[in-house]
Amino acid sequence: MSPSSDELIQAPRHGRRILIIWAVLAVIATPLLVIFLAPHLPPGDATVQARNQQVINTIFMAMVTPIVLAVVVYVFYSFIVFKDRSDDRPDSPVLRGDRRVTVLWIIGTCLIVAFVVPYGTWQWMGPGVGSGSAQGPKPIAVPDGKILEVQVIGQQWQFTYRYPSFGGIETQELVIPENQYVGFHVTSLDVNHSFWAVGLGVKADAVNGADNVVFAKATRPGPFKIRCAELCGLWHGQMYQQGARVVSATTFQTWIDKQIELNEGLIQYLPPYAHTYFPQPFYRGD
Amino acid sequence: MVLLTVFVGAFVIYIAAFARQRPPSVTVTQGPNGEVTLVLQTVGSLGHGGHPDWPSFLVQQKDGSWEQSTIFNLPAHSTVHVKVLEYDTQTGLRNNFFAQPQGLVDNALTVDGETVTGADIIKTYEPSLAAHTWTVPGLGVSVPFVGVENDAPNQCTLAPCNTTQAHRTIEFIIKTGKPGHFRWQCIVPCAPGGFLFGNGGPMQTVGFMDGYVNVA
Repeated sequence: MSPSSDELIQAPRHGRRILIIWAVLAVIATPLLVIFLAPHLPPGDATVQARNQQVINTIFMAMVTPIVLAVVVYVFYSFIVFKDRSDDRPDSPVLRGDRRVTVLWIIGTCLIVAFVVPYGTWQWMGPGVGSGSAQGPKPIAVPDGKILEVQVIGQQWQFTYRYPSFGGIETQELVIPENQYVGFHVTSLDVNHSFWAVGLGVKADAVNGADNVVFAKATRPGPFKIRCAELCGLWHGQMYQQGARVVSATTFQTWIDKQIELNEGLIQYLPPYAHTYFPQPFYRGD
Repeated sequence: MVLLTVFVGAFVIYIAAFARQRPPSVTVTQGPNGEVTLVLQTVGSLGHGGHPDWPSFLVQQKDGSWEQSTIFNLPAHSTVHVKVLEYDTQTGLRNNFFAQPQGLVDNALTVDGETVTGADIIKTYEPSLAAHTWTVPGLGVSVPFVGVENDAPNQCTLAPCNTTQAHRTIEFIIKTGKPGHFRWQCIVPCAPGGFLFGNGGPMQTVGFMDGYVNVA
């Protein structure tokens, strides 16, 4: 059964209704999500880099909420209002494209992408503060000011850490000072691993023979978790570390002094500090 | 159709059985005076079974016999005396950091009857001398085992080995805390040459160079 001429005349009202429902919901939901959900979005705000990523996530969420609502409102409106309740099942009217909607959709999505890509990249690169994402051995985005270098060494199945500014000592736990830029130089002694300090907003692949650099500046003391994010063998799932923490500058100095003392016998047997190491011995009896 | 069902069923059972395969766990109980002793031996090659050329750990049972196992059940909140008969030769550590023992009572390691403590341990037993380690991150324990000289006479090639063969005796004490299920591994790349970075094969297999410490 074809729609009657009266029905066709009424049709544009559906569009208006959908638009009004969508606008009301979007105006209510978007600020609510930004106010109440955004502060809990990962990776948190424990570092400058994490906060940048959280801001990106918040903006993207605010942008995507009206779009998701438009789709949801349209689908549910169609389910409810356009449901054919008659007993006979005639052919539906021919579906025709609407050029205005198509053009609007293409222009709208292009504008969104044209904003999202440069803005996201700019924020992610962290101008002046460095990036929490890996940049390889010669980072483009480097923080201004003094940087504490910490090397992250992945090996099956544990991360260890070297502090070149303190004689190249090596530790099993990662401790960094607050309010200080830290440059993590990530490498591996065997297969590929991935150093993922979730709360710091830091993630970098650990690859043998490569020096992968990321930056973070912690804004407050507290613990954070470290995980390996690259499937690396039998105990990959166990390659996480708790007890990593951000501490005050004074506590860090006390801790590092103790590590230097503990490394007293060890330090002469560690290889000279380098950004990469050849895996030696390569295998049994090598 | 029936044949297909039987085939698929058998395949599923085989896969499930394979996935559940585990070496036996060995329970270490307290002695009459409350002491707990875990006696292990490490061998360079088992000499039998599906992987005769793989290094492995064996654990001594109550009757003195040896069981190839890497799953040890220890009592909680106990002092555990660990004695290791090390029959394997030296490979050396890739990361010398692990040459320094961690989590030992009094930070003391006894090798062939001679006790060394603290920073003297690494000076006495250099990283290149290690044959294996027993590294239990969850318990904060890591102990390097100094290996037999590579040209030592009368080396063991068939497990279980006996003390008339070339070996080192390593002893140390650890304390278990609250109950838990902890994984352990050897961190020396001690797999035979065909494996990537020396870390494949036995280094990736529970029952050889990986296992669990069940503290209960």
